[in-house]
Amino acid sequence: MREEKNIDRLFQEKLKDLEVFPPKKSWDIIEKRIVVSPAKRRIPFWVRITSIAAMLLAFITLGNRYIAPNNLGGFQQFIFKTKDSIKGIVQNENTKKETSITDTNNEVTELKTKVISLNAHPQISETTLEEDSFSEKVSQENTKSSFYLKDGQNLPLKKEVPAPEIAKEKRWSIAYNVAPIYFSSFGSSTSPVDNQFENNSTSGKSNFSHGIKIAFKLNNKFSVQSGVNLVDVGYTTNNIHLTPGVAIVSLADISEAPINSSKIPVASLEKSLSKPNAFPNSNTGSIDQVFGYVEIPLEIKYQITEGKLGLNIVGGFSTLFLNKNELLIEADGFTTNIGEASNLKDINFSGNIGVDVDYLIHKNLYINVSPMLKVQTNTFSKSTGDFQPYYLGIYTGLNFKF
Amino acid sequence: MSLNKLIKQCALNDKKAQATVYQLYGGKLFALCLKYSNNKQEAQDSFQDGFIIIFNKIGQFNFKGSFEGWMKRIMVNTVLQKYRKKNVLNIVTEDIPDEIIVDVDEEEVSLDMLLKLIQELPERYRMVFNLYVLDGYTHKEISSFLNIAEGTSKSNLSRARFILKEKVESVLSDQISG
Repeated sequence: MREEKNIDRLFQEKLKDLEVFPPKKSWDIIEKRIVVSPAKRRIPFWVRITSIAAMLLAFITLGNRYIAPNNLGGFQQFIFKTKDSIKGIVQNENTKKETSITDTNNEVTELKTKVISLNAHPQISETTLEEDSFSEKVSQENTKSSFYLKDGQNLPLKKEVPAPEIAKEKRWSIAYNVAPIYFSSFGSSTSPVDNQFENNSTSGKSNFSHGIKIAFKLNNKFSVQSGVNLVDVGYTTNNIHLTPGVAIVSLADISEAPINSSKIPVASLEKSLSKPNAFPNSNTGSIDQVFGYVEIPLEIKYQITEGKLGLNIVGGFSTLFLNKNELLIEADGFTTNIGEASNLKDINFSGNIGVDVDYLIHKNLYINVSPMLKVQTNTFSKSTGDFQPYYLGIYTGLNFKF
Repeated sequence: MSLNKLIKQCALNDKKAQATVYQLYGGKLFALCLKYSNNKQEAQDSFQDGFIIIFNKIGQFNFKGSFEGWMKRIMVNTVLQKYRKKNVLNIVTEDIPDEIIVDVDEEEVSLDMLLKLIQELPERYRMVFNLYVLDGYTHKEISSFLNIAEGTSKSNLSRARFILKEKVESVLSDQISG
């Protein structure tokens, strides 16, 4: 039937709800280029910290041997989808359309959409819109007065989006780390032991740190990581004078060190140079200050490059709990414990920055090498001048993703 | 799984959720791009770029209003950005009546033909016709999108209608005579 028709209505009725399946390769291109930006509605920071703390507690309590990927599978459960849930979405979203989803091989394989506006027009020509083969072209269905878009193969189906692989995406990782530590300080290299040693040369001692690290991948670019490390560091104040005192030792019931530390006069060699005879019977030696911490870092890792060999930047801070504090005098081959430093704070912090290179050696296993600079604050309570300790560590770890 | 949950999963870069959203809306959005473009390749480029933006920004969707509408706006904006980059010259305002009536037998008008006619429109006309007629934007909105005067938008629309009418009638008369 011919009718005078408003040109707008003609096009609206035909084209407004048109659906044409995109070319197959489009999904491949899109999928590769998705870089999800941080969502506005994110998990609050404290929730993340609490989660990490809870995880830490679990790891410390249960021990490494109880940690297996199967125990943590629940995290991924939301990824799995049922056909019913997908169907629900479609029905909610498109009230105008009749939609059905067939489910074969546990995958959504085809989404057919009926365009209502075309019910009255079953005569859809097969002519090509462009010179090349326009595979998205609409086709007709003569048996029904409805119109289905074809070419369901173009959708990102099983081949493009293999569900099992996606479901296995691992966000957590756990690692055992070891690192040689070089301890030193910024500012003038004064001794943290006592002000009188301010002119003495000082040197850091190399030590080791080791511990467990866990990491959680927030998105493609960012991960948050924490763990527990045991850090032993040492610091040597050189060129000190010491004069052995008379040790009054009771041979029975020894309760402390055989030599009472308070009876060893110790002085800076530099200060005594003006008075060469101040300590006529003294020895030169050094004071070794050894202290150790339980370190709990909290760091953010930003991925610069991905692939088998990945490069990351790491930044964050650590809370350090003092668990070892010794002062040793070393002279002429003997070492004596003279007590502990009173100016070391029980808790202090460090700012951490470094890079992290990952290398995937197996599906869920990778090694990482991470040179880190950790600058301590709040280390000493007094008598330290502008002593600003830091330590450099090259953390090497074996990581397991789960 | 609800649509909201699906969107949240996409924001977490869940590939399966992204594929589902693509399956659900890819057809509509690709059709939109076809209408705004003058060939398949151009439509495909816009579609891909637009969908990448959708997934990258999906975390910014505030769950107020229609998700489909939000995606369509991104897609239209992607198309328009490409169009603006081409820096098309303004088309001279012409005085043409608003209502264009075409004498047509609906059953003779195929979907592909109408799509082809739209794609063949000069670019400025195609943009205005799509935005106004098919996607319901006002001339005021269109004028800001395309950086033209409202009057220009109106005259471009009239011109687009006029051309389409001529072409529809021409195609139909060819069919009849053929």
